[in-house]
Amino acid sequence: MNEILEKLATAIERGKVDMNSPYPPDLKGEIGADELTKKALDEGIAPTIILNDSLMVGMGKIGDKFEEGKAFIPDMLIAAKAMNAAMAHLKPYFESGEIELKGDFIIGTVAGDLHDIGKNIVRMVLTGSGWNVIDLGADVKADKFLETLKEYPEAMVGMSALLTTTMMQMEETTKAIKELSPNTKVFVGGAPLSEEFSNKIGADGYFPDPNKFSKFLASLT
Amino acid sequence: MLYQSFHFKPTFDELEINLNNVIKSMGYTDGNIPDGYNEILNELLETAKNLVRPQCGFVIIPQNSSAVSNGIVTIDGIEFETDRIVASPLKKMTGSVIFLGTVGQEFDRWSKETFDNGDPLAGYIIDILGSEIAEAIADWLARRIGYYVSEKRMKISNRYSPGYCGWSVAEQQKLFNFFPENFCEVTLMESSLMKPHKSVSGIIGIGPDMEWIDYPCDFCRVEHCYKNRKN
Repeated sequence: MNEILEKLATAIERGKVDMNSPYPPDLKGEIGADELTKKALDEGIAPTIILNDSLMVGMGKIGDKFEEGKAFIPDMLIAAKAMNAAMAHLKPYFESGEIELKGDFIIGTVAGDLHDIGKNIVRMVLTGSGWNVIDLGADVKADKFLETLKEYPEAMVGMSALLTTTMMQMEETTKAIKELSPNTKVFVGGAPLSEEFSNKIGADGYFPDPNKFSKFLASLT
Repeated sequence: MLYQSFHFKPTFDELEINLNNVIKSMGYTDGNIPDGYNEILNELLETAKNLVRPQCGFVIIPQNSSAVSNGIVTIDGIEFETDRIVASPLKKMTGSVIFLGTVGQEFDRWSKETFDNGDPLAGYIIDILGSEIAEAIADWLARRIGYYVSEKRMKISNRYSPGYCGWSVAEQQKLFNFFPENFCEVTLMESSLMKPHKSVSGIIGIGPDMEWIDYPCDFCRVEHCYKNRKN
């Protein structure tokens, strides 16, 4: 692998955002994902190569560590922050179509629930994996999901809930989505949920781990 | 019915914040946090000191109107369908208090803004820190209640909250009926979520034979629980 791409992958994996970021301490003063991405583009490396052969490699490595229990949510978040810094340089190429997005993904925390940390983590991981994520925020009613789905008819939908009282909203929303668009995939996540609950409400899957979910979505494309 | 109520505003320094709990909740159950995270955590704790507005209080339920029968906890005629994890240790109570504590609204804003403004790691740590501070406020209040009842030669149980120990969070609606309006400036949404977000409500049993026991996390079916100390 090209040396810059290798360093960039490491910067993502270790969460080195830019030269000014104090974390991780052993890389203090060194350039991070921000500068390395710019450098790679300046050297003429194709944006698609930067994304696929470096950024996603870095995210994949930290994601695998997370799955293995060797890294935790803070490590995923700091890596996602570095990824976002790199993606800012690639944004024009996404907009021009030079880099093709994997697809649209609508995400939100269901009505009555204001917990959005878990949903935000999934958003960051999916954005970093090349999805166009439409984040509806928290306390999202079924109508809002439907309205957005009409705007992005090819999108998949992800719903989050952290309360046993609000997870019931998922059933109503899933039914409404399937009535509007039977082929739309609906996924659910959140601490009180389970695969059994997902099956019961007619959703297409429950994922407790953002990295596994990202891998699963990639397998659908 | 209007119950006798007590309201407090403890200072931040009076709270016993255990950063080790925060570190464990971040996933580092062995207590070993990566280099650099400690500095972030300590910086956030310093900022938190200026943003937290602790408020807490409790209402006293008259003696002999709290009882447990067949796994149902009855407080002044209101039945709470708790799990046996809550009901069993309250069997010997002769009275009870319903309590509420909060870190204040400002904290919610800080957490959300930090996350949304591009620092998800800090936003995540703030969220966990908020939960720990809310628990510390509830602990401070429980100690206060303990002193109060000890003057009457009574003891207190552990504190139990809807949403934990098998007790449905939906029952928080019944609990809030005992508080005066806008008690501690905490409101309850239809979904039983409290605003401010980082708030704790619950019940403490009172009686001459009450005692504090270890939370029986080994028997609990809830896998993802803030209070879970199995790890």
